[in-house]
Amino acid sequence: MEEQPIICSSCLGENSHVRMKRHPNGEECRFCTRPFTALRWSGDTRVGKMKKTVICESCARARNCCQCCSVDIDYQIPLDLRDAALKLAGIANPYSVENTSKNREVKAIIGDKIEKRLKNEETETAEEKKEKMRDILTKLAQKLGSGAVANTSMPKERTSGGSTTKELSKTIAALPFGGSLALPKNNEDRSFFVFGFSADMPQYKLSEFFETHGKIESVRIVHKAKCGYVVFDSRSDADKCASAISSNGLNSNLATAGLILVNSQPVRVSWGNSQPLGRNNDEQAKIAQVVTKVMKQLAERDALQKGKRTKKLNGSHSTKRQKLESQERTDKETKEVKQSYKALSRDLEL
Amino acid sequence: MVQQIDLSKPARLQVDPDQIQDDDKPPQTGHTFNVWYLQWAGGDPTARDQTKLKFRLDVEKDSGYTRAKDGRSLICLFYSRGCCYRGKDCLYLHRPPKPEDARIATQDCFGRDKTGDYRDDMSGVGSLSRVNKTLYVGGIIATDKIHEQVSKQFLEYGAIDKLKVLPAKKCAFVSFRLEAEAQFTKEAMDRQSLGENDVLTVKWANEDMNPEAQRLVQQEIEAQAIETVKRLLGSDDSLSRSTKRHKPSKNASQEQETVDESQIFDDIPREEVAHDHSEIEHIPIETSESRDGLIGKARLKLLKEAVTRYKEAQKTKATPFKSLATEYTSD
Repeated sequence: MEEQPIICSSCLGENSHVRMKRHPNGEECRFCTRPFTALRWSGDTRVGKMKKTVICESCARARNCCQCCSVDIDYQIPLDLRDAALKLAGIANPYSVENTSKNREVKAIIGDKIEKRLKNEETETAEEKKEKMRDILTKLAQKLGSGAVANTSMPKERTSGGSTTKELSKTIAALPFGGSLALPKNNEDRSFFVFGFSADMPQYKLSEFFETHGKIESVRIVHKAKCGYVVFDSRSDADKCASAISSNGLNSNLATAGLILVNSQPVRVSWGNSQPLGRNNDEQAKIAQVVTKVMKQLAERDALQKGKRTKKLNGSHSTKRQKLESQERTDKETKEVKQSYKALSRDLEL
Repeated sequence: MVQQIDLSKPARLQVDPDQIQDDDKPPQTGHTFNVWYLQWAGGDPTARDQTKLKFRLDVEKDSGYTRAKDGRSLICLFYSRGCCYRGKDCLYLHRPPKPEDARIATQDCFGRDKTGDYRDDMSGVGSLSRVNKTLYVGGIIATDKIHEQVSKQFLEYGAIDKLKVLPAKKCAFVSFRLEAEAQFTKEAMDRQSLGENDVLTVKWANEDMNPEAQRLVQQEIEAQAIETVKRLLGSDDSLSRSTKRHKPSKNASQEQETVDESQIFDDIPREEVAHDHSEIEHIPIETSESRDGLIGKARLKLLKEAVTRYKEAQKTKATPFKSLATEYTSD
């Protein structure tokens, strides 16, 4: 009997009768570089027309993936995600293949070894396979439920040495950390200085936030330095943006840079014209240190002011309704500050 | 910041077919012209990368509807390079990739097969060994506004995650939200220019070995993994139900070959044409017990069962088939 190819149901397509055509000379396996019998068929109507196998059978069996689209055959998810999930849950991965070599010959040798190993193993029936699959899923569910998923990549503390050069201190001094959202004197200004986001903040999220207020001329986000500039097309849009940020409920002190939450991260915004942001990695890392310091100071100042204000509010005789309102507001504010502190402590650890 | 693209208008003709001359050749960069690959051979091999292309994609003007079906078709490679001569008659999509597009991990967004490894110079379609969302952009000329310039021009084709410009090295690294966006931008920006005198070379970026960058990548994969597992766990009860239903049929030797009732009903098997070509082979998908007829006894029985079940379901207006179908096309 003919060996059955390992192909997932979405690749096979909706038709339950599939006719496959064997490639006359076979093809090279994308994983192990050895030749294998390639098949072509017109299965799926979703993407493209003809489908074909690109991975040899033993490689696919060892990784438990589809020979055509290389997703996991049981869960229909990409292999790297499956491996990461199993690792997170602390479950031994039966399908991990340590094929890290870049050398073609070594790849082929590893492929041969895998094939030998698979021949010795007894093939499990579909029922056993399903049972195993459900077992893994329930284990994962338990782990996820108890919150025991271990984050394997914890940020490590990094020590920074070296002294700041004159030029760098000049660059840092030129950065508008003390700026605010109050209208600038110069009517030509339409750019904002944005700082305090961490390295995993996507640029498109930031520009999406600013685009809600008007058309953007240019964006310059330097992740290493944790700061950047957003320039609006017109002054009126920039004004709109500034007033929207200062009235978003997070900002009580208008003399300092405005606070916004993007991607649940605190980011500070102030008016500021474009300045150089360091020429190399070291300089940018130094700027990032200054940014974290400033973020901390600003958060402390905000907290102090809020404390003062709430005292005042509580001291003055007011109606019940007002009291309730103020309580609500302070609750919200403390929450935000807490959140920002959390983010800060994470940043400082970097 | 990716602009909303208007797909209600027909795709513009990027190149007029009447204007193309029969002996149209790219600018001479070698000794002899290879008529098969339409390239110059011999001479300096890097000269080809240093010539600017004649066409460039303008997403706003060129995009539009074609004969391709959204969600089912692939993106036109010639459109991405700004030189599709078919316009609205093209069989491929004329728009940049979207996050919701269905994709095969072994192909890029144009439907070209990925290779096992990258080429030595990191050009070409790309590798399926890892998900690469980062492009290397070489050949930029450093000016004061270079960061903004690169950002502005690359934003047109996809949402930028990160951008790092190294003016001293005359290069930049651009990360995108999606891998497909990186693939698309690579074709759109390769051998184009930012200003006037420069010619960009866009290639795949090597893995960033910086521990901080690796930690971020790891974090992203873990977050995605947890999300997918949660999604899978959400559909777990439908999974166990479907296995119970499959038990009596015993038609399945492997999971991917189990027959989904809904699929049978949606697509009643066509009678197979007797094959007379020796090269064409019928690879049996059913097990041997079901191979004793055009459709097969076991399958016929299953089909009848499915039909009766479907009719019952129609009467009660319940839709048990939908949950089944989602299980199979969960990706």
